[in-house]
Amino acid sequence: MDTKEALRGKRRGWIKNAAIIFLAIMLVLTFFSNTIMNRSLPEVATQYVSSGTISAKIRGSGTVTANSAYEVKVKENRVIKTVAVRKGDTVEVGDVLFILEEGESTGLQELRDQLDDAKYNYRLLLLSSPYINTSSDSREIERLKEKVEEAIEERDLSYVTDAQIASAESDVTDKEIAAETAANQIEDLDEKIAELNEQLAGLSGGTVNADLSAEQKALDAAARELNSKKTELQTANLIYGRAYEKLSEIAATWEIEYHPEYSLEARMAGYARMNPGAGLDGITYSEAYEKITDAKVALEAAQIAYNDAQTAYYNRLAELGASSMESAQASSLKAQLETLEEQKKAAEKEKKNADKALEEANALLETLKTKKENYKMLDDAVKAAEDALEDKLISVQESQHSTTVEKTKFDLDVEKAKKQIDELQEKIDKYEEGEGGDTINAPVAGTVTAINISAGSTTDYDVSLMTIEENDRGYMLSFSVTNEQAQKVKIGDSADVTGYYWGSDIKATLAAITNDPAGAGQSKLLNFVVEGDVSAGDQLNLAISQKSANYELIVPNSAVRSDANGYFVLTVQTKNSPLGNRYVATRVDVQVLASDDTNTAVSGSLVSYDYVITTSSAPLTPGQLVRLVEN
Amino acid sequence: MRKAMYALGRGLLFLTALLFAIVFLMPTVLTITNSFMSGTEIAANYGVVFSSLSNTTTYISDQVNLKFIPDQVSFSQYATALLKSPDYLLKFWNSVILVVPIVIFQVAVAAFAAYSFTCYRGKMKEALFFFYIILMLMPYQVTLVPNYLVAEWTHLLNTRWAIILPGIFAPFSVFLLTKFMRRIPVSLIEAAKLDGAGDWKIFTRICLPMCRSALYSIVILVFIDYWNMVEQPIVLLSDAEKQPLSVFLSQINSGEVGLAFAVATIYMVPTLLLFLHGEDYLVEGITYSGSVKG
Repeated sequence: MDTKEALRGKRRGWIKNAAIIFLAIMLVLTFFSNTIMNRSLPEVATQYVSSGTISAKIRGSGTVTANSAYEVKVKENRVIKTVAVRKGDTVEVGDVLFILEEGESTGLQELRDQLDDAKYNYRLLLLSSPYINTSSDSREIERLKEKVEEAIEERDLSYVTDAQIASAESDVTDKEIAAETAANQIEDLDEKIAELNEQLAGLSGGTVNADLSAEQKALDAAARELNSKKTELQTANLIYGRAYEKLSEIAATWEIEYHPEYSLEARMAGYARMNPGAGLDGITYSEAYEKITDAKVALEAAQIAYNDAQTAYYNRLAELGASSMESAQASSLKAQLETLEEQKKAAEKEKKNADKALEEANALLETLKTKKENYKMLDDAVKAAEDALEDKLISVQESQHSTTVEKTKFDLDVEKAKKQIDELQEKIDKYEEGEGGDTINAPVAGTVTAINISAGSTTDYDVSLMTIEENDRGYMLSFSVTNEQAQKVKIGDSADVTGYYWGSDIKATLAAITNDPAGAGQSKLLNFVVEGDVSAGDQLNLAISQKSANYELIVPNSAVRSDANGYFVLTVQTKNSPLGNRYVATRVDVQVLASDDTNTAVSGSLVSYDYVITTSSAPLTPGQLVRLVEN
Repeated sequence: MRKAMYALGRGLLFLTALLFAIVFLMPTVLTITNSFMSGTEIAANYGVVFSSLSNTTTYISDQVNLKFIPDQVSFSQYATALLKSPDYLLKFWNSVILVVPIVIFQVAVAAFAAYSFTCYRGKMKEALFFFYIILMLMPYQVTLVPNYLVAEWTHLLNTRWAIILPGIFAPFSVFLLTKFMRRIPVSLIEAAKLDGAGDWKIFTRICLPMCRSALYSIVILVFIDYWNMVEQPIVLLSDAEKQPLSVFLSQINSGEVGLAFAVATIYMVPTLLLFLHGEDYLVEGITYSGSVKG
């Protein structure tokens, strides 16, 4: 019974302890509940609603363009080989913009063909004149016509284009370079050959006696001597061994009865001393010992002699080796020398060929130049022949003194054909004026803003190939704003450049307000003059201040939020609770009236000095409990 | 044959009792096991029960899924109740603040009243005791309205006294303790009187020690009764911050089902500890056994 009571008491004690622990835990948790909860709440920074002035800014961005743009054009039809610049590159006057394929303008060629056709038609027309009826006139005209054709044929034979001459010049230059290269090569080879000859002379010329027989013989003799001494030592060792054995046998019992304490060695030494004549096969023990000592000395001497002979042999062998190396080097140098000689011969041959080719190229160039000079003369001759023919035809025609309608018509046709010829000639002259070399160079300094043609394409006559904006003529920038915004700025206002880190001291001034072609009457273009460290193509962000105004409710920009229902701010509402104040984020819908870089003017159910949430440590939803940031 | 029939009868009785035990225990077990489920799992299992409360929410399951074993044991509900939200802890202490004075003072008042009803003689005594019995028999809802009116008249409405004062003077414990004290032999009290003991000595040295089991029973029963009260706080305490945790448990909504399981589990701990501590006395006190020793 007592045990049962004790158990009950124990259990009650345990339960009591459990209850105390439970209540203690609940107390501790309650004490720290606010702290723990606050840790989990988003922390917010607040600012009160104020009144004041808002200076709104108009912001916009645009690309800087130069005030003046130069269009690069050519008056010929040429194929572009390479476009040497890229869009955005800055070029100086004379910089290569395009490299053209070799050859004449196709347009010029066509015009020349057309001119030839027109002239041919003109002559046909004159020949078909109804007034040519006398045979003498006819013969004269025929003769003049043949003369013209001959002159044309002769002239055409001398027709040489600039491109041909340029090509021949380039060929001459190539050949000159080739000849020079060959000469340089020969010079190099000469130097190398001289160097090799010097090296060859430096090598020892005397032959080395390759005979090793004397050293070999001495070495063999020493070896034989060594072997014989070894044999002698072995024989002496054998005799000494046998003598030692015999002595030990005899001495074992010598004077044992008198001196039993003597060792075998002492007995042997005593016996030998007492019996100097005792021995084996006539040799005493001491003699045998002496013999063995002598044999050892002789062996050592033979060994020394052998070592010396061996050293002499190896020294000789090394001498021979060095000598053979030098001879191998010499033969290698000789082989190199031969190769170089061959190369030199080949180079000389090459130089000869190059010189010949250069002479030929020079001759060709001279011929072409002469032809070109002759062409003008021959062309004049053609013109003179044509004029003679024309004069003749006209004189025949005029000699008829006819006033018929047919004559008038014929005259008109002749005039038309003549006019056509003149026009074509004029065009050709213009083309020839515009005809340049094989490159198109920059006529002005500036930045390449557009390239309208690519490599492989053919240029059109007087059509823009490239646009270069001239940097020294100033820069412009423009962007579109609403009409309301445009009304709040005036010409001469300066704008701030924002977010541009590559240049400094950039000044933008509003120069003009123009209609925006893309704005359908709803927007205007603000045009700024940009000065300072900018270049065409730069993207700039500008901010220009509007006229300022006073507002009742101004909140920081960060306090204004928006969602599908529009703009709103979150205010902090305080609620008292037994465990302290609770702060609740409450939504207040607002209308945004104006804003600048930091503040926004709003209207809505806010009162001055309401606290609005500006930033929070976590995303907020209206109605959420928050924690105020500790200052 | 008779023996076999007796064994069969016992077996059937055992099975029936087991069935009832399972049925009665199931809600408690369900509460405890479900308190370890995450909010998502609770919503998936029981969300449909609360779908009528919230028209906007769509639940995964279209029927209630009674589950005893969580898919993944989670302490998130406990963390929310104990760490993230001081409200529940506050309500727990509200319960303690309301119940502890009621229990202490009700037992004290009942002890004095029971001694008076037992030892003093007078014409009004029986009538007064009868009045107590009548009061005890009345459902609580009947006295709730007069309670409210009196509390308002005395300006105690929306204060804890509106709950504590009626609780202190509740008739049930007076009735139970009187019935128990009357079983103390009169000879024992008279012997004490002869020995020169006064009323205070008789009350403290004889009556109270002999009624220990009954006092324990009263403490447990009153504690359970007031720990679980719902109507009185709702009617008499309009301020939600003063209401006990039992009111929150009666007003759970769809988002707080899992939390309610965890809070209910925490909430049953004090009752359970008290019951375990006085379990023996409770049985003894209720069955009136062992009233007089030696």
